[in-house]
Amino acid sequence: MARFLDGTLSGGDEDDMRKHLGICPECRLDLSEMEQILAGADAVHDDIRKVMAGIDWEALPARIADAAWSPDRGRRKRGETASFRKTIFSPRWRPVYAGALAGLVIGAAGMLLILKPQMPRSASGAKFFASRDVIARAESELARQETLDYLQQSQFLILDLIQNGSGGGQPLRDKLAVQKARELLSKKRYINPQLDTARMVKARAICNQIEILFLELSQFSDELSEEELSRLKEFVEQKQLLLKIKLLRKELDENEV
Amino acid sequence: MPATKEFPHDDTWSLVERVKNGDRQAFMTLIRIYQKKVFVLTYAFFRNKEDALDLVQETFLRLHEKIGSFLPGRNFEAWLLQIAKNLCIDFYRKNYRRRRELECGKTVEDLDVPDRRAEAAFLGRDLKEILTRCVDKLAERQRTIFIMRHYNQLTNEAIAQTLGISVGTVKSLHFKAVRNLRALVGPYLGWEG
Repeated sequence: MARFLDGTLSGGDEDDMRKHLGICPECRLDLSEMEQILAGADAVHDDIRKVMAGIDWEALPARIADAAWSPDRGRRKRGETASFRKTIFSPRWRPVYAGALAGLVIGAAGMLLILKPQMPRSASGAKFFASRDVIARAESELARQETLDYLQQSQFLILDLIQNGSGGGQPLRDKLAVQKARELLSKKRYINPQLDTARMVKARAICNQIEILFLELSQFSDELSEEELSRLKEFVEQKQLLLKIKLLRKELDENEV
Repeated sequence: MPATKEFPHDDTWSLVERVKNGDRQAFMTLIRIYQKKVFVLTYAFFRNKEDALDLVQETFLRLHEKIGSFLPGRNFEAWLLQIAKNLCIDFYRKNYRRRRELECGKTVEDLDVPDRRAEAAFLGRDLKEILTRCVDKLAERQRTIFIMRHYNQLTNEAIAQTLGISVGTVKSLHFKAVRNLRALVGPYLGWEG
């Protein structure tokens, strides 16, 4: 969808996408709304141009150059620094600094003596610090990986049911499928907060549809009847789950954080 | 801009060299060439002409202070926009988020979904106005890339160079920004989630 919006899809992929849009109202709606967002952004750009028409661009360079060459600017910068140093290091503050330093040393020594027996020994003693931005990106990447894993396992299970299914004939296989569905329901509950934190709205919607399918499957008996299997297949076809999973997996594969 | 006797049309690197040597006219020429691009970026962040012009001035003053560290071979425009972008982010963090909340008395988060529709009606369902408020809510990198792409009209390659990231990351973050904007704007315009 990203490259389709950008207009950078190859010829064959673009045709596939157009065909899909022709039959999928949800994706058509997604695309239409995103195109409206981009049209809104273009309108904002036009507004900015109108504002720029009312500015005296000829006078601005001289004003900025005057400020850059102003003796006050250099003097103010030097003066601010000198005055600050003079205040901080004046003789009347030295006893205060000496007292604060002594207090810090004594306090640190006291803390060490009191807390040392209670401190747990860490195996490695390594410390790791990360900025908020790095943590946010790591969380997004983790959400992406977990979602990809969930989608892959879901895809295998659905394909297994559809391609090999004829109800009532293979109790062991059906039992494993139901167990797998229950595992994937647990995994979905685990990734829900990650999807919300990473604002992966589209992925969340598709995973919710998969979850409905597995909820249905998990409630069946361990041996699927013909009718139950037929209902599952109908759900998969109606929601085009396999195609959505394929497109979403491709998008997530390409969109590394 | 046309070449004149007073301001010979040198390439950017020559101008930079002259500014390093204290040439005021060369500095003014650089400002004339790039002032509008910097203004588009600063105005897109704040939608306030006075703040935007102040930041344009501050950007070029910062450039003047740091011009000694600009090395040959680097992309001057990308470097200049990086200075502008950093100043915008600093200014936004210090002044702007709090000012917006004070002006309207509520943050966007405070508005319930039904109230958002009423708010949209009050704003005349103006997508531009709603979009501007929602762009403010994007994560920092997504907001910066969206502004540079749609308001500055920079290419993905130019944005990548300015921010020091790969083109793939720019495309990915841009798409995330559009998707997140859709989720943010939707309730105001009655779009189904």
